[in-house]
Amino acid sequence: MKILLFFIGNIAQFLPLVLFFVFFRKINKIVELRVVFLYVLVSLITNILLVVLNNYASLVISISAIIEYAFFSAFFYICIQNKKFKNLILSLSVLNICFEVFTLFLHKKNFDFWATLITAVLVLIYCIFFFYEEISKTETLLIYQSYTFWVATGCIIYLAGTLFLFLYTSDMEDKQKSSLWVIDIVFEIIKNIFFSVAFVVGKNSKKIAAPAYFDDDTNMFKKSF
Amino acid sequence: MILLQIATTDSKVSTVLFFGTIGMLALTIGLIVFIIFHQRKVIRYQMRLQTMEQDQQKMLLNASIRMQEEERQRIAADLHDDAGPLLATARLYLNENLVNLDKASQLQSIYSAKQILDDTIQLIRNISHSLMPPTLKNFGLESAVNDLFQKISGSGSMNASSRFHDYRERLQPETELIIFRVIQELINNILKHSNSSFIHLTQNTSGNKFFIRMHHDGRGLTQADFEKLNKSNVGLGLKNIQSRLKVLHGKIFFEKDLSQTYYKVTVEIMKDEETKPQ
Repeated sequence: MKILLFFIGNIAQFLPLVLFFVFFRKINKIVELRVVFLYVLVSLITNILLVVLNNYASLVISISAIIEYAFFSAFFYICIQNKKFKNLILSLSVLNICFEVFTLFLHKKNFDFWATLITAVLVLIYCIFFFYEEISKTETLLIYQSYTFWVATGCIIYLAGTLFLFLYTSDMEDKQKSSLWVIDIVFEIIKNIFFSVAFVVGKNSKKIAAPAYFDDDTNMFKKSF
Repeated sequence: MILLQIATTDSKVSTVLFFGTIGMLALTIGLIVFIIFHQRKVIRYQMRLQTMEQDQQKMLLNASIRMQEEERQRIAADLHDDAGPLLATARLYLNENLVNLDKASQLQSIYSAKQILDDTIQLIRNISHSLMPPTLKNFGLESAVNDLFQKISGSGSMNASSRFHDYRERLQPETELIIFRVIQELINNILKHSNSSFIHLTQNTSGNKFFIRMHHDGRGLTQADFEKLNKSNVGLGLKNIQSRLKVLHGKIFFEKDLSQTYYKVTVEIMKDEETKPQ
């Protein structure tokens, strides 16, 4: 069962990457999806490093957690349009990354409770604000027709599902840790499936043409940018 | 399955992990479901509003077209029924046989034809004035409204008075014409339906806003009546007022006076340059 899940987990990790290359010509120009692609790629490299550098596993996991936060923040920074909130993301991200780096060198352990909690809460706040902004828009496009919705949903489900696992990892025995790590694999699979859906939806998304406006100086209709 | 395994494990951490994960998942899924359904509801509501607005626009457009057609018919009838026969009569006086008549008869015919032509000129002038009052064009809204009210008072059927408190600068000619037409339409309605004994019009400005207020003591409309009539197929004149005011981004309010004795109509127009009719 565990081996099967591990196998599916690996396949699921490749799925968004494969889809990105399949639809490369259509989705390469979408910045948000490029960030997601880079994130999935970095996750894959981290998993490979975990196997190769088994002795430094705790360091690799801690660094990957910081990188993961940076990618999620970058994604929401691009998607959110409110300038004040964008600045807030930027400031909080700098502070949080500094704090995470500090705790990493201070405690030299896998997961610091406060660093994990703060990271998860911050990304959840970004996610909720993103959803709030999306439903406040007056466009008549359904939210699930947007690729950003699928990425944000993948993020929020993954974070919600693994938050308590990461919070209590440091308090667990090694045997318990290895048995409960299955939860992470399950939510990784779900997250990668959602990211794959985002790539498929992104492939079909068309940029809405900006309405033309009448230029009084030239007496002609012009395209707005 | 995995979470059930955690729950059965006898440890405090496992219990917190189980309930924490389940709780967080439930919250997240609940949030996403709420967002999807809320957005669908909002979109449905927006579409309904859009449809209602389109219907309203269609009604206003129909009213405006009907009004234009009625106006054309009226002008056509005036020209056909009045100017046509007059000119035909003048032509009869000036027919080919005129040269064979004696001088006195010739002079009499020419004089009669001249009088008929004078009448025709007066008739055409009246038609032209009804299309664009010369007082409005030359002297502005205040003079045109005062002139109109004097004519109503002069008829003896109703006491009509108007007072412009703050009208030092004339508005754009197109704006003045639209306001004048709205006032004409309102007065027409009051004369036709209200059975009132007086109409009083006042003009004021407040900041960027230009106000015209009319009071009368007859039967009138409230805002609810106005909106109801605006949505129905009747009330062509009111729809016409609405479509004219829409051009100026103006508003109209119908209300009963606090004393419950008078009806009050307030027309509010922005004085800004942006409100120039498009």
